[in-house]
Amino acid sequence: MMSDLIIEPDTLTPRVHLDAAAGKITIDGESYPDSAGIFYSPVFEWVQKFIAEEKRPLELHLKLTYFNTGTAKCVMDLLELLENYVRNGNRARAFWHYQEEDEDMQMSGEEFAEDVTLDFTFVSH
Amino acid sequence: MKPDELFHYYANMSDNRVLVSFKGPISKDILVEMGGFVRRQLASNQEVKRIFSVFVEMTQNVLRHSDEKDPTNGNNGIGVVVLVEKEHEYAISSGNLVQKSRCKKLTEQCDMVNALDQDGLKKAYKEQRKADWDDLNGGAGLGLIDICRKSGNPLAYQVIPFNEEKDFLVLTAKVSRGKI
Repeated sequence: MMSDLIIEPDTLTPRVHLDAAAGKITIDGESYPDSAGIFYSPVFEWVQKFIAEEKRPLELHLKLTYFNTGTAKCVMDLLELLENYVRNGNRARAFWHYQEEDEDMQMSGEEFAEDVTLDFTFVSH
Repeated sequence: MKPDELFHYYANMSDNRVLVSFKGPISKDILVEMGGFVRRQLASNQEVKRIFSVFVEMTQNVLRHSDEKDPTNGNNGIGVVVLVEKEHEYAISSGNLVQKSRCKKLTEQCDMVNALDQDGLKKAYKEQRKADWDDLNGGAGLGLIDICRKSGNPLAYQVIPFNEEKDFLVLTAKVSRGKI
């Protein structure tokens, strides 16, 4: 069984919770690290390991309130990873959480949803 | 700096309504501090999110891509960033040294981005977001497109030759002030 990975939030980075038992990836908060690739590399390693070893359904919960372009690239890569997982006969879903009045974040989520073939659910709070 | 020069510096900044001005190595801490200040100063402004976003992208461009690095921390690029409040817009400018070949590439990217309307920008943004990035480029293209999209205006640039190898590149993004 894989272990969980929790990254506590910092000034430029969100809280990340990778829950192995639930097959749930949660990214919550603002994300604008100088080097998003470095920040998100343990997340990719975890997800790739889960995909290779667990084969169970995966849920990605994105609860971003602000993100920079480096993060946008990483989120896209993560979604494509799940898209491929589904293409290979597994199950994965994405959830985009946003504050009801935050039209910018709603639109950002829609622009991600348009670019992947994946079950994509919008959740307003 | 002589006292009268310092006064001129102060008076010039006041008259031009310079909200933020920084010259030096840009670290994560500096970015956090300036970003927080921008948010607090413009909290009541309906454009605050777009201004903050453009400011962060431009500041991180200097941090990552300036060809002049902090001698005590090679990760942090040196440059200037300025946020100016004008009657009809907020102008966010950055300036830093960059290798001539790279500077040329960046200004060409600016020209390409500036030729696009909002639909074209959205398309370019999505293409760039899906493209494979080589580490050297680090997605400057996506950053420039995003700045242009969020600011809603063309990205102005000026190149000032610095020496044989490097230019000083000034980028200015303008966020129009909302009509009330």
